[in-house]
Amino acid sequence: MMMQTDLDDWFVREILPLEGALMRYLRRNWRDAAELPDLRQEVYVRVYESARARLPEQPQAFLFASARHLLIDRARRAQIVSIETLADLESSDHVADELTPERHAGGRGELRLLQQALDELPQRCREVVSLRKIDGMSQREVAQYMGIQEATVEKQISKGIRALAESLLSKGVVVGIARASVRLVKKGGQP
Amino acid sequence: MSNAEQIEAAAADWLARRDNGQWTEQEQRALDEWLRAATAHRIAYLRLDSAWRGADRLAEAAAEAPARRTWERFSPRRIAAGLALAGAAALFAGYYSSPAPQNYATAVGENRTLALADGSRLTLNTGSRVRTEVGSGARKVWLDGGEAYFDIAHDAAHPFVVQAGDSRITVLGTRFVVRRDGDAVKVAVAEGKVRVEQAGRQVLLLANDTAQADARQIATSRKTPAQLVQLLSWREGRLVMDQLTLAQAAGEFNRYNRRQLVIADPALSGMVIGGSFAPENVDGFARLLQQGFGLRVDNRDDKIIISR
Repeated sequence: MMMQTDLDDWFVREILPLEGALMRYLRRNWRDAAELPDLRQEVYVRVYESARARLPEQPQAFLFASARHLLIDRARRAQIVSIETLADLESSDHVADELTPERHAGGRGELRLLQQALDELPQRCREVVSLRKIDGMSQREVAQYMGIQEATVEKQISKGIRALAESLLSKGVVVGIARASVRLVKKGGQP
Repeated sequence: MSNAEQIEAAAADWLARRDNGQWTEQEQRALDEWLRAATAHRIAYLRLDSAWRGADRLAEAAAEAPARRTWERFSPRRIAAGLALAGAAALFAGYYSSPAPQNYATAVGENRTLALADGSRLTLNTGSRVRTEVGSGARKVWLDGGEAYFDIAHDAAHPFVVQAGDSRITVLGTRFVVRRDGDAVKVAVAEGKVRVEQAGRQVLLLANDTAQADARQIATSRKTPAQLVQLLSWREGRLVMDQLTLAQAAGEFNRYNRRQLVIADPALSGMVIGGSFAPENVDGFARLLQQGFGLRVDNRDDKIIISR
């Protein structure tokens, strides 16, 4: 059993950068988009708990295998599921084609994606996050500066954190963590 | 909201509260408990925490694309709010997430060099006042009056900001001087790049460039290296004047001395003079006017009256 913090670091370093690919895989194989956040959470929980006993040697293969098993479980239990979906899931174990190059954006590319993620925030949220992160103001200073309540600032920060995470992780950006290039391995023949 | 989304919202609230700078041990214990309660909680927290930490690099992104941050960010309303904040920041000294603001001032005739926490140095000229907030998260100095020379330690992730009245000067690492006379702010750059912003206008200055910003406009001028040395000469305890009018020269001396030069005859004000002086040697300057230019010098209390 490993230290909690090491496990956390491993998860952030190895698994989170694969989120964009994971979400594309889930989206392509699951019809109900409203269930995607729950599916993602469930995959992550399974991966994290398995890793607690032993770290998988190939994190990305392990992540996609977990995703696939989860979808199969869900599909079997579902009231309505397309036979094609189930057949696809059971027959294919390839995931490599989900890995696209944007996750290797690198330092400067990451900054650009970060800036883009900020620009996409709703106006007030963007202003709060900019003052906090770019101008280095504390939340209290942001409240003074904008003439709004501190509680409002905190709420906007909370909203901003979620939106930034969604935007950055969907593009495979885990900022500040340099990853070596990943070899693309295609196991199955199917697209 | 799905189960996962509820957990994510709760994790974001924890992070936002933790970010507000008033985090208590009691809250930390409550968070630990929440994280232990379910792996899903821990996952959600790790995921958002990594993104929020990553957003620290926004400062770097902004520094690389300064053009993006113009009108919206520096409207007069916001600058006014910023000034109000400057006062408020002093009230909140001791607020531990940001460095405690420090106040420094020099007396008339005094000249003093300060080392800042980030490795930057700043030299205050005569009769100057600054407040500094320099620490791990932010590098800010308010020039409330007078003149200061900045030798800024390079840190791309944390731009150094000098607020002089309504003008905002942003740099990454460089040497430059800022002088504030009431609402007029003069900037001269010895090395590196400096951005000057005022009421939504902005200009980028390189070495040997100078700018003068007031409420109306920003005027720039390129100097020769020798002229720039003159602008910085006060740091060596010299007042170097090149082609100044008598009125301007008197103004320069008056910054450094309690005894003030007064040009009693308006016709003399436009007279052009030059030279290098010790700033406190106002009597020597007066004697030069008397002997070299045949002007009349009367010492009266704290005033030195110049006339024909």
